Amino acid sequence: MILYRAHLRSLSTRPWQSVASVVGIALGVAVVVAIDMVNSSAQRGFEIANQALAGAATHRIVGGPAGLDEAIYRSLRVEHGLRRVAPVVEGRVRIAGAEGLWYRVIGIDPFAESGFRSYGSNGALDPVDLLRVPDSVYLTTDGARQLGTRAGDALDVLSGARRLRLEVIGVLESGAGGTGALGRVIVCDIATAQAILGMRGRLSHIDLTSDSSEIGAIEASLPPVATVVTVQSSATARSRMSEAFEINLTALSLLALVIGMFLIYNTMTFSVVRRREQIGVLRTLGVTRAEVFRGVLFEAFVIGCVATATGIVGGAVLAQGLLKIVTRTLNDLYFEVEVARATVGPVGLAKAVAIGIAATLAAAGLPALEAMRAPPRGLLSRSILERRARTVSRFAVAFGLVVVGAGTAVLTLSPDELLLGFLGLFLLMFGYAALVPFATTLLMAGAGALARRTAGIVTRMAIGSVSAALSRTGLAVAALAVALSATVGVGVMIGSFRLSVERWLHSYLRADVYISVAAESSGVDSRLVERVRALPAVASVGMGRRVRLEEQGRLLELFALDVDRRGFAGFQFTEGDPDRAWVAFRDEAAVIVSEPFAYRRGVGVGDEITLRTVVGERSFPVQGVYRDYGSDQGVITMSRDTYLEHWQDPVISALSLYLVDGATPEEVTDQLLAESEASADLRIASVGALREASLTVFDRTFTVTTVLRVIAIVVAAVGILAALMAIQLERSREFSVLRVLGFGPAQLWKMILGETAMMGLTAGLLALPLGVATAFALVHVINRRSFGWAMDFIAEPGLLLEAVALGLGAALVAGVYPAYRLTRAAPAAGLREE
Amino acid sequence: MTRGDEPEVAARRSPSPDAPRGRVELLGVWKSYLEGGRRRTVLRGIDAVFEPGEFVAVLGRSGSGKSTLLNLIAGIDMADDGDVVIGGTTLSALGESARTRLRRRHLGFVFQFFQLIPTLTVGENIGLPLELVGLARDDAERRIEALLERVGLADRRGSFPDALSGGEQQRVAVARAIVHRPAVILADEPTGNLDSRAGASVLSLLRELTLEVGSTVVMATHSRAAARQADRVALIEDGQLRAMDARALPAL
Repeated sequence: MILYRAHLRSLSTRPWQSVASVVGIALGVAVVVAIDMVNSSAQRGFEIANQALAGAATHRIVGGPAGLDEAIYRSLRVEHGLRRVAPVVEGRVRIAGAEGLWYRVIGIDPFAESGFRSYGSNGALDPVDLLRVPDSVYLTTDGARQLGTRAGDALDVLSGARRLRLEVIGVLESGAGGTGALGRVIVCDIATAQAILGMRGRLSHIDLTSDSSEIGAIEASLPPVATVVTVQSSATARSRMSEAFEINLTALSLLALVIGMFLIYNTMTFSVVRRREQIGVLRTLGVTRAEVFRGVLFEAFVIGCVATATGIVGGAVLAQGLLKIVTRTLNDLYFEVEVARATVGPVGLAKAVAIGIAATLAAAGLPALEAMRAPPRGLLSRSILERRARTVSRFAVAFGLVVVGAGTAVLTLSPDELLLGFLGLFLLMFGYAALVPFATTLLMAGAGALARRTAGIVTRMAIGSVSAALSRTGLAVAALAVALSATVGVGVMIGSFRLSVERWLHSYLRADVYISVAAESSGVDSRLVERVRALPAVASVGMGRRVRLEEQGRLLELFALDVDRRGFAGFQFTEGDPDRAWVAFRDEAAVIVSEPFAYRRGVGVGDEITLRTVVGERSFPVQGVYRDYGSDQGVITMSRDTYLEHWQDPVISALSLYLVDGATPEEVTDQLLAESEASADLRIASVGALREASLTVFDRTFTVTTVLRVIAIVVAAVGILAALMAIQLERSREFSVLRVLGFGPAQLWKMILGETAMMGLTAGLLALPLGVATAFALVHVINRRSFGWAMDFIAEPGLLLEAVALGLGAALVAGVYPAYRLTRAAPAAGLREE
Repeated sequence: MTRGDEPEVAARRSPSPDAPRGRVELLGVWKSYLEGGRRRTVLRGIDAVFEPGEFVAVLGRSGSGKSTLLNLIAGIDMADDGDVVIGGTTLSALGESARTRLRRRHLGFVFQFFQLIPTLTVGENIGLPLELVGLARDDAERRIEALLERVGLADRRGSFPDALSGGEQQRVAVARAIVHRPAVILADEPTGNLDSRAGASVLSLLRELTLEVGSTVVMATHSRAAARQADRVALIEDGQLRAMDARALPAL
């Protein structure tokens, strides 16, 4: 116990270093916890909402893009005598006067609901009223609260080009069959939902509760376009869409933790180096190596416990802030999810505790080994230590090169596995960090040679002391270099990505004005199409329909396009001949697929894609692969004629307008906006505005990345500050000797700041190759494996310079306090210390 | 070297397996170091025996090999050739862990710069060796109390080392060295960092306590005054150990 008490108290002898370690790991843990909470809360929110929507259904009959003919439902009930079936019409609408808010419409048959959704059958809603009162609806508590609506109020909904006035006849209380999980939902009968969503005679899907033995018979009775899927697989297909996005967030949060680990490693190493004599005495007194090892790990364990507890609390706070950003991105890109609060369960807590403490212990492992190897008293002088550090730094080069090689091999040769990509990247960073101390001695040798001709003694001493104290400076420079390289890597990746998206938008969005409906189930009114065509400023109109299909438990997007050659030229082909593809696209029912689709499904030009259509399964030849950043799930694009022939769905969800010479997109947009009914749920935008809006979504997607990057930099800065302070304060005796020899305070300031500046500059410069390599790996491996996107690689010089300046700045700031303290201390006091 | 023998003529001996536990034997011990690329031989085949309960001062100039000799006896450094035998146990035959166990049970140390653990109180510093040998808490408490009384620091038990004077710190170090009643105590310049009065007081305390316990003391020093307190004085010079008359000590 006495031994452990000694270790425990040694933490309080250097409170600032201990606090810095706690802050570093706590921030890392906080970020990991926050991201974990946000991811799991979003997933849970999605699952709960899904479950509330699906109720007790085990299976679901789904159709093509236009849903199912309601005759199928009648046939199942009447001809096949099935009783446990319930029709559903589902879609999204907006509410007049409530900008930016989406409401989900769920149309049900209240008399068929028994055994399905409890709110549909437990008396929470009155089925007779629902059928008796025309256009009557119920609202969920959340939905009513956000609108300030009560029973008896009118509700104006906008869906596509339609505007309907509904009557709210009741509010489903939160406790009513899990409606609290639903968020903003309007519940009504089938006919009202069909009217709202423009789906007369159609159903979105039919829910079933059935055991597997019946499914074969049911499936056989369905038309070709319809199929039976399990509710579970349907939900999984949706939630899997955001998997890569979530893994990326987790990886980025782990980066903050890894940088925090560097901090612990630094602190523990300094602590061990500082106490080498004390440890030697303990060894002389008979303390075994294992006891020394356990003692150092015990110190780390205490730091880990405090930091983890702090990190969990901080993470819970941070999670509430990140939740909004992440759910907005999930809504932008993947699926609708609404979560009021991020929560953490016992598993999440256990994970956080394990990660926080394991990370701390792992980081302290090497210093503990170093302490364990420390020979008994008196044999390890500073000069021996430095000589050993220099020898180790040379061996570390070989080790580092091997690890860098292994990392590069994992990155380039491993199968398309995202986690292996991250492993390769972390190996690359770790191996490079091992090269840094030796590289520092080389750079300092060069700087020293330069300084001999150009600089005075103080500058030469500042440069010399960096490599003379390599056992202390090497680690600090390595940690700073890794942290800076991470910021360079992520920065260059985002910059490359953004520029690629900008270029793609310029090529892809060729028309001058775009009109689309916000909800995918509804369409553009055909009268609007005619009116637009008749506008004198409009030369031609392209039409599109974007739908989601569910195929074998996976979701895929289909884009049916009616364009001329000019519009088709907007596709940037990465595979296939554009001219040949155009002919095949127009005349031969061929499709072109987006890069993520080709990557994820392993298809290319010459392959065929088989899809369920209303006329049975059909194969479509792939004639080209094109660049597309609009969806990371991938898109199949076919001509509208091909689509109509196979799915018989005449709905148009988007128009692209090409204007005559002299007409400006802004004028036409203004004219259309003025002419379109105020009720229409239409998005009318000039190409410029649409590009801008797309980039806004892009920037929003990376908001969370930027937040995490800033936190990683803060962790690194805290680490560097602590490390450099420790280095300088440890040398108070040396500085006192210099004061005695005649160094003035100004010269000491210059020397201390000079040394830290050299370290910062070295770290900044050494961060650049690793930063660029990290960016390269992020762009070409991580992003590719996450989202299937290839992109241009652009490393802006400004960003690289920023990293060097950041390193220099952090190091200079870190030098201020030691310089201030050491220049004010009486030299005699420093000489007495040791 | 045994009492009265001249080291130059001492024959190389075999270890005595049934030797009493406080007996220290050096059998043809050689030790050299690499310094600045050149090998410097510090000890040249030293043969010597320190009998149980003896207080031996090893006198020598700085760099003569006094501390090296103590390190070899402590088993924290190993001889290039020859053997160190403590209580019949040959150190070179022991592994690192066994040497550590031997140190914690049978050896005590007093250093020039006190080397108290700064994060432990006076009482805890003294209690540390007892905890390492696994003495029951009550017995340990009694011993600590008694020793604190003996070294005159009963009222400083809860103080940390930095609150004590140099002399007081060295008294604590002596108490720590003796508390587990080791067979051998190695003292490296125990008065080197003290004024003459404090030095004399620490030495007499060391002498007194080791006499009670019956420990063998090997003290490295370059102080003639300190050496005069010893039963025997040996001079280390040119890598050799030579018996000296305590009344005719050379100036160093």
